[in-house]
Amino acid sequence: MCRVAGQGRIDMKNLQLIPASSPDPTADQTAPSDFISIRNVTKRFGSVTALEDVSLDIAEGEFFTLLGPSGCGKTTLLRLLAGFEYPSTGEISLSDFDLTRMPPNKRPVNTVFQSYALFPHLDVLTNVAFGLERLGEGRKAAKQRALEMLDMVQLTGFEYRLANELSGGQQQRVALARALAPRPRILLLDEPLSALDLKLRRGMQSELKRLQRATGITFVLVTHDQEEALSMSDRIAVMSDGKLLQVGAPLDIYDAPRNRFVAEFVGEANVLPGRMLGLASPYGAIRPERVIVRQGGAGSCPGRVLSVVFVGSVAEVEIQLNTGQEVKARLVDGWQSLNAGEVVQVEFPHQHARTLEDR
Amino acid sequence: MALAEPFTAKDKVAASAKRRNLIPFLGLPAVAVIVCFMVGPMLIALSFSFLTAGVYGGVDLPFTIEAYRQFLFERNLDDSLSFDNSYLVIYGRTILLAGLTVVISIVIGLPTAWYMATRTPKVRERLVLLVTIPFWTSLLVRTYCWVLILRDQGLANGLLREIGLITEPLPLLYSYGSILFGLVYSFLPFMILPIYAALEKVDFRLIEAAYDLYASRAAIFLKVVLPLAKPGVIAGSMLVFAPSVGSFLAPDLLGGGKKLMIGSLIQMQFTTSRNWSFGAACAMLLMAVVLTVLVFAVRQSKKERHA
Ligand SMILES: Nc1ncnc2c1ncn2[C@@H]1O[C@H](COP(=O)(O)OP(=O)(O)O)[C@@H](O)[C@H]1O
Ligand SMILES: [Mg+2]
Repeated sequence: MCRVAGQGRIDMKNLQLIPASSPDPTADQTAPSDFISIRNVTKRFGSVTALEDVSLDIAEGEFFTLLGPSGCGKTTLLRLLAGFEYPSTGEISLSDFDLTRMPPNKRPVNTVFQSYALFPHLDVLTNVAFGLERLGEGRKAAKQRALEMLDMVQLTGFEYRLANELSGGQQQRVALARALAPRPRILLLDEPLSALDLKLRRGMQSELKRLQRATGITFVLVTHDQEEALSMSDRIAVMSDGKLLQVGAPLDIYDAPRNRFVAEFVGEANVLPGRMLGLASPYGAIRPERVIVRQGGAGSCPGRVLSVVFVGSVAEVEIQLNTGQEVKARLVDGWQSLNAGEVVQVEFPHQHARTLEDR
Repeated sequence: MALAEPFTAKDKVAASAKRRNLIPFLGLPAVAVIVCFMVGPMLIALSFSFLTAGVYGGVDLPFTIEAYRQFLFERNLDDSLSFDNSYLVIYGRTILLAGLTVVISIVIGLPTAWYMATRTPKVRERLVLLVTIPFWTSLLVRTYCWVLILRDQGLANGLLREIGLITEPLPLLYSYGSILFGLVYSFLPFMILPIYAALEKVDFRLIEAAYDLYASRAAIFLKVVLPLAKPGVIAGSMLVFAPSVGSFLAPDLLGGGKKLMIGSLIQMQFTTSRNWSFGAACAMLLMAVVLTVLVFAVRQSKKERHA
């Protein structure tokens, strides 16, 4: 058992959060059902600011993804949640427990490391049972649970192998089983799939999703792969340069990007002056698949075809507008008769144009 | 391609077979060095131990086991033999002191190596240099320096008197304690460096992973750091035990030569006592002891690795 700065305590055997008094129903209605709450967190390493004033709420049972390019601070935020680093300023809490400066072995949070970090001197079963044994679970019960976890990640029969006798994909599963075995409240995953080849990655994506549904544990995943983020997450936070740019459901992020960075990082986008898209704002965006291209005739937006590339289900057409901008269109049909150098009319349907807050 | 493949494969097999035939010859220089510099001297020492000691040193025919007899039995005036345990006591004392040296070296060496391994690469390099610096001067000089520091009129007693902690000098020299101190001082780097080498390779994420999986500091040390340091600890123990057993500088200079250790005993046989064959016999028995301990240590570590 462990007393913490909050009012209640954390049961360090079952990793349950136990409030001090029985929950007050009126309090429940006023407070949002926030689970993880990150408040104005800044993290500096010397002169480098890895995270700048990040505020974020994550709900219980959510599959939440931190998405952003390399070096934007995703890992740092995850390490703050795990407790390997403490914020320079700001607070992190879980329900009403203050996690800000709680050491990793006191918080009901487990991590799947990018490099797996399996203990090389222990076999698979002992690796998976490690957390449970440290929590005071009996050796037998811990082994039993570890066996169940190995079954869950389909590694039955590998119990007595050493970590370096497994393939990358298998090590990944062991890491997952090891982190899930203690039944944490939160599972953190740092680019867990980046070391796997494409085919294995697709398989693991649906597997992760299945595990998250089966266990009901809150997953916080870090990735720089927008497709991965869009396909797996309940909600996504897009990050750049230590800042949170936008938080929302995959469709919201894709359909209503707030600024140019989000529009271009999550899927592709044509960013154009607002008036060209019929918007009042200085800048707007439209997805290539929404752009309409007509051959010949008169229109408000003439241009010249630069290239036509067939990529399978669609063709990507690059057009230079007479006003100078380059625009990308993704066409299902009608592209077969287009040739480079040809003059075309481009249309941007108003209902698909999106206002951007900044450039 | 289908036709060409068996052909090239066969070629490859032939070439690699040729290469394999050469391998014994490539090993020749190494074998020569081992025979000339290791097996040779040992065989000479072994034969000396079975020869008769010359009056002014050296050895003479005929072959005899007199030297080994002398180790266990005293020849009385009437030529009868009586059991004499004084040399056995020296051996026992030596092994005990060497064993204690190993234990103390582990206790000091593990945290030191851990500290070194967890610094930044630049600091690490400097610390390794620092640990090896003592090797740049002769052990004799360094051990004698400790005599100067620890003797009654030495630096340590002078300092303690100066700050008024003592009035009479503490007897810091010429005890088991001072011998042990000298041995640990002499051979500690042999413990630190292999443990450091083992720990340096350890991925720090493993420590984080253990911490993340609810391990306390003690559990991290016992369940992760220690097992990963173990090959280094075993190597270090061998490297410290062997020279400790054979050491004669620390027992002579810091122990005052009163508490004889095997090393001093052997050294004396080849110098003042002029009994080369007894010296050689003592050395052979010492080697037998060291080999037994090493074989046991290696077996133990192998067994645990397979457990
Ligand atoms: N321990 C550290 N010391 C110094 N700088 C760090 C440290 N950890 C991260 N950084 C810096 O913080 C920034 C964010 O890093 P990180 O969180 O690893 O990004 P991401 O995971 O999104 O690639 C980078 O500029 C990185 O160099
Ligand atoms: Mg990262």
